[in-house]
Amino acid sequence: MAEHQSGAGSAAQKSGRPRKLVFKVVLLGESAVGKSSIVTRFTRDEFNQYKESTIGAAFLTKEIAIDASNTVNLNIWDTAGQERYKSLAPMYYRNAEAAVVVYDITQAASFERAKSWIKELQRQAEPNIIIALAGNKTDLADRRTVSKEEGAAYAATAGLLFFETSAQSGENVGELFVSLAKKIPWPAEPVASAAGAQSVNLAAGRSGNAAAQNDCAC
Amino acid sequence: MNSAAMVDQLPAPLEVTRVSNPTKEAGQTALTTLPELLVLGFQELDVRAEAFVYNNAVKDVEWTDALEGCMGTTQHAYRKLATKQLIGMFIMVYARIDVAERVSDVQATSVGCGIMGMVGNKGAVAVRLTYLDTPLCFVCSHLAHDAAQVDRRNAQFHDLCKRLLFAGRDGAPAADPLVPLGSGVHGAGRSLSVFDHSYLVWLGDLNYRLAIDTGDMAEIMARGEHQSLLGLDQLRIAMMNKQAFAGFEEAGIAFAPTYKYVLGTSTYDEGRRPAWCDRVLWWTRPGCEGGVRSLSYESVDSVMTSDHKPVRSRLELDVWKVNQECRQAVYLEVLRELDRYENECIPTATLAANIVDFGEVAFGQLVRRSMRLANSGQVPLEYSFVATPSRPHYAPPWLRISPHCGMLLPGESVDVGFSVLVDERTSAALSTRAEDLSDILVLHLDRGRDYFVQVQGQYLTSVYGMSLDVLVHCKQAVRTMTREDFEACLDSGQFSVPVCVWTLTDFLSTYALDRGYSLFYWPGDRALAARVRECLDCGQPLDASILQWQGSSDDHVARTVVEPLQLEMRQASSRVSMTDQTLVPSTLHSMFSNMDMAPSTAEALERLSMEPWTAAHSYAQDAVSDEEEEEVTAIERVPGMEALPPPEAIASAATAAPHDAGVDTVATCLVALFASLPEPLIPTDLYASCIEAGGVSRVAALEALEVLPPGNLNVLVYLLAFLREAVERGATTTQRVAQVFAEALLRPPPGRVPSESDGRMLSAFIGYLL
Repeated sequence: MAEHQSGAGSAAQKSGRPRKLVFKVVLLGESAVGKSSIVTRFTRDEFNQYKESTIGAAFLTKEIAIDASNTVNLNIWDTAGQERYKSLAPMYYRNAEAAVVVYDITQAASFERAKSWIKELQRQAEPNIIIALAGNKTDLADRRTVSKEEGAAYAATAGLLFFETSAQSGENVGELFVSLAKKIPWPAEPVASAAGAQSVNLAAGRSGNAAAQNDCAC
Repeated sequence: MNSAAMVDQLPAPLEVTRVSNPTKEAGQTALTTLPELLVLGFQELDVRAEAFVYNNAVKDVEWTDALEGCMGTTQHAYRKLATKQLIGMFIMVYARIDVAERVSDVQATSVGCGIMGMVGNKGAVAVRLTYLDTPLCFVCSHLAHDAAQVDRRNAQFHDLCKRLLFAGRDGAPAADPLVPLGSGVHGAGRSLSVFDHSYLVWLGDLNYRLAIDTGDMAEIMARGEHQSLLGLDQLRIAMMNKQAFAGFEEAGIAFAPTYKYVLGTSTYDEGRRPAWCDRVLWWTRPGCEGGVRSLSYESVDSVMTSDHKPVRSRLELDVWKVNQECRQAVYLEVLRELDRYENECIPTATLAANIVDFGEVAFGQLVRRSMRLANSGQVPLEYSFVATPSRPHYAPPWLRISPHCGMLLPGESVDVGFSVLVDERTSAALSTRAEDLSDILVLHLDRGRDYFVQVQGQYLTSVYGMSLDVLVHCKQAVRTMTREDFEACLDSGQFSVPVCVWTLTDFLSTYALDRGYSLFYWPGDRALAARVRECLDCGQPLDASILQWQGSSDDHVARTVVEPLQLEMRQASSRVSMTDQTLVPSTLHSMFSNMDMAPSTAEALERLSMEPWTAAHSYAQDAVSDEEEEEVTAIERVPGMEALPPPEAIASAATAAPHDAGVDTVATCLVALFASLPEPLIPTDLYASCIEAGGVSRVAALEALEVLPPGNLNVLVYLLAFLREAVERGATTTQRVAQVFAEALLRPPPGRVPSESDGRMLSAFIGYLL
């Protein structure tokens, strides 16, 4: 974990002028692992035990300071974890600079699902996308079924940032996003990429589905 | 004319005398037998040459003293009011001491019209005064001599009439009741002529002679037959011919000609023809006719100091005293009368109420109220509702007034109809409570006053008609949200797919997709749609009770829903008409109102719930043919209507499938939700590029949407995912979805009429997205 942070901010420090960039971050993971709760904790420092399921995807923003003069505006797409929305995910991770894949440390199945999300991201998302793996619900450590070592080992293998978080207590939530933001390479020229970062991409959702497309040719 | 009420007619005689030697009159008689006014006029008092140059007042004083000396004891009975001298002409006016207080505004003036028309060897001196409330004027003139100069004398008279002027009185109310108010006669700044008086007395040596030489004058005179010569008097002739002194009167002349005598005798000068040179005439203003009576008119033979014999006239004048209180009362009464008359000419209206309350108004629901407007005035009334500084139209966009202008004869009345309809063009601000469903209308009467009519209603905040930007930010039930709640969630910066969209799609996913139902072919049930909408607005879940809806087969519901609908449809075929108790989104509404309603309630209901959407085909034509409703709302735009495939294609494929009123209704509500967005999901400015892309390829379609705001795109992605799933699970076809949603998601910009090919291209566009 530490080594991931070592080079953080170096790109930002190259420029003498204060800079403000916009990055698109997508949250993925199985239903009910706490994606929305992590985002709500991060953006508004709130927690709701009985949060309703996300519909489709929700959009939130948070501005964080990388250092004294540089800030990053994170445009966060919080996707729905339900299986029925799985096909929408590509539209959201397309063009994303970073992704957070969340699993529930009390649900082993969610860890497996996280792994498959990571594989999909590494296969289909932008090649240089920064991925963080988050094992959520450390406040329920007594019901843990996925060990921290297990998660960390997988993250190390796959080249991911890794945190164990608690949206309820707020543990590591800020660190997760700040580390992610610092890891994202800054472009050489100050380019405002707000438009691209805020958008979802329709084309991504239909890639490799040519058969269905033929059906509707009318 | 009520001058009688205003004027006290005084019988007191007012006597005017022209005397050369008043001593004879001055006896020891009681004061009241003496004339109230004495006017003495002299001519040729001073004929020295230098008198023409130095018109000094020394002579004035001397003459005054001399004359008053002649008056003896009588002089103490009089007070001098004015004297005026112009060379040889001299006028003196005295008032009897007991009535002197009645005289006011005394002015004197003089005009010369002798040599060069200016010098005072000929001319006039004059005094004007006001006796009680009667303006009087006295002129003493000396006109051109010589028998041949009659024209000159006439001209001098007119000249004097013009040039003898007094200063006008300042601002005081008209003293003369006979002078119309505001005529300017008594106004400040305007000078008074001799005719601006009730009475004008003109005296002096007017120098008119006898017209022709009639032989032996001396013999006639000796025989005392001078009366026969009066017909030759130049003055009488001039008066008769209106050449001079027209309108003047004179007492009958019983005395002998007063000119020309041998000085110091009563013998005529043989060298001149005798003539009545010296006269006293009077003129009365119209309205004062008969106000002057002559008591005596004579010459005084005993005076021999002149070659003229003086003439003396005793006149009695009717004078007025204005009763100021009465006058004021009448004046006010006349003012009031004028006022009343003016008021009667102002149109006035009576409104049955000044508040029109619509109660609760739902999106797409037409609520009607009426108010009686009556012409309660005396004149025809033209009314119109007018714009206000804050509103360029006479009514807010959600309100129609019919008739909004018109003309009413006195006693007539009209029921002005007010219909409120909140559609997607006006719902945005109302939905978030940024605006209220209330306004103040201005009812203007032509040439009359303005009336203010308050219109108010309570808009039932709904997800229908709410802008997408608000929908994606709301997390709670919209019906209970306050204006502050809306502002807060819009400021939160968070958005997601609207809960209402999820509620509808989730219901369909759960209950419709795998059960063999065909979506988007049947409109469903209106009453049920109202219930669905209430659920969405109030945040209640849609559950299985929506299915197997029995309401539409219930006769009671049929009556309350269908009968009013039929009635409304007959009144305005194109206008979507709702009864007050039904709450149906506008799009649904139009779907239903399209149907050719049969007279039978049961049959109508049958059609309403059973007829596939293909039955609704003639809506657009109906809308155009309606003349009453000049505006066309989104209600006329029914998704999928025009793009339907031939009925037989549907009949074979979809309509044969089983369907459920609940499923159909929820599906329709989903379409209607997007159709009711104030700005469509795919904004209007992308309409053209979407049509273009529809004719190209899927890649082009996706490119056209690249500029879509993320909130809209997020919802579109979600909706398309659902629709794709529905197609994949056999609940509908791509073709059908494309047809229905092309119109729900895209709307032409104002002024653009979609062509048939546009519809095809848009269907193709949605098809590409799927």
